[in-house]
Amino acid sequence: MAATLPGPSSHALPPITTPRNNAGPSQPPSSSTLITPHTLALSLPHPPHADPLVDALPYQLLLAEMPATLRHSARRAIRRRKALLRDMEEAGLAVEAEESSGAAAMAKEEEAELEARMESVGASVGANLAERLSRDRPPLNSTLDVLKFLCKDFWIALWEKQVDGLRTNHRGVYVLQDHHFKPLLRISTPHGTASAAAIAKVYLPHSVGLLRGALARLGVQATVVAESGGQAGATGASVAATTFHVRVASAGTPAGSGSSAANLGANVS
Amino acid sequence: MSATAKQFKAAGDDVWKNKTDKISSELFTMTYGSLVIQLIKDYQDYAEVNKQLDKMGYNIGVRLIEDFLARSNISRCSDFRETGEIVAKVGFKMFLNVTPAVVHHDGRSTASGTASSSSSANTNGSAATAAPALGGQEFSLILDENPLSEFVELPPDAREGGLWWSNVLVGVLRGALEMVQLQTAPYFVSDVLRGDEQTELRVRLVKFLDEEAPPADD
Repeated sequence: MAATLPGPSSHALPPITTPRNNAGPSQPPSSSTLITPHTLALSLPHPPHADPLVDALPYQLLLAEMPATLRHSARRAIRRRKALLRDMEEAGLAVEAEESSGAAAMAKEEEAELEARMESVGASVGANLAERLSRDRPPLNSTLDVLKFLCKDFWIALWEKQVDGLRTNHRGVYVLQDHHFKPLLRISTPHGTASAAAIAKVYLPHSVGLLRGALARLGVQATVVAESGGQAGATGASVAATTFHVRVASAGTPAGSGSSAANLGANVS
Repeated sequence: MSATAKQFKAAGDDVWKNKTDKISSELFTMTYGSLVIQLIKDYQDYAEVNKQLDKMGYNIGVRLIEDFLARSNISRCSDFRETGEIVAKVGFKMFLNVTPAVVHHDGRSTASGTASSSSSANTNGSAATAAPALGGQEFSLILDENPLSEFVELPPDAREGGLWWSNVLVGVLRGALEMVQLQTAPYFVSDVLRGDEQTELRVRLVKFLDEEAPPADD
């Protein structure tokens, strides 16, 4: 399957071989100049082989800088929200009292906001990436198909390997295991080496978001929880061992537990 | 293209082909895009977003340069002109797989409006920091391809509000060049995302930094 441009039977616009030069010096200006490389790329089906590439390092450095950047922006958003609440209070409107305002509470709120942002960035990327990847493949008919696709193609696109193990209880719960989860390997940050647990805390939400976003875009509403060896205080290779627990929204709850997906993770399997 | 420019281009192509660990450009674009959007939501101030992108870029740039030097084996530039050529043909090529056009402005030309590349007053490629007159030396990078902005469309208020979508590049260049003793002020002049005709990133040389021991790196 070496073709890069679609053949005459495709749905694409008529092929334009030199989109940048379609108004040559001797030709009068025409509306074909509206077809920029951008619009052309949007109109054609996206051939997997023509996927443009960049060096991996800028992406890795971008990821490395994301937490600090988002923490700063989260602080700004928190400040703005608090100022708004104060204004409302002063204006005489009833306002829900803030639970506590100590430094510890502030730090906790900041962490929560950072985590939410890491996850949200992940979700947006995950959704778009899943859509792109699934476009040229046969349709995914069942939730299990979706999960298998994520465990293979999606995982490879992001982390250059497949998931190491997928289990399900056939009642809407899926457990994905990656023994060498790439984001947790070779950990180093621009701000000095931090413990594996701290790294995991910051980057796992991003990965959870990637997965959750991909699932949602592929039609599967689910909650996703991750746990890694790093969180349990383990050392050595198991630091990078990560498990994702996916619970599909319509799944029946296990008898009597009323538990959230987080509790499933606590069970050592 | 001059002989050295060809060499730089060949060097850039070589690093890209042989010494690069590659990922999908879309993944990079999407990640950057989601980040910018989140920053816009949080700061609600486009000037502030520009500033934060610059800051983030700076941190990325100071690390990127180490990798650049290790992988490209490019020796020290003899003048700022060469810096511009190397940034475009080797730097951009090996990291983003694009090669912006370079236009040199040495601030001394009196040509009508358009940038001219009048011959540099620098003599041979001496490795010493022979400081040429800093008559506003600048180079422009004309990005006709920009992985950061693929498929991006700016809403009108972002355009009017002065957002430079790819402002991280300003920081990256500033940080990277600072680590090789060049204090620069990069800035966007125009961006096709804002409806301009081209995307131009101009880099002004502020001064040569004195040689000093590199900061302790731990």
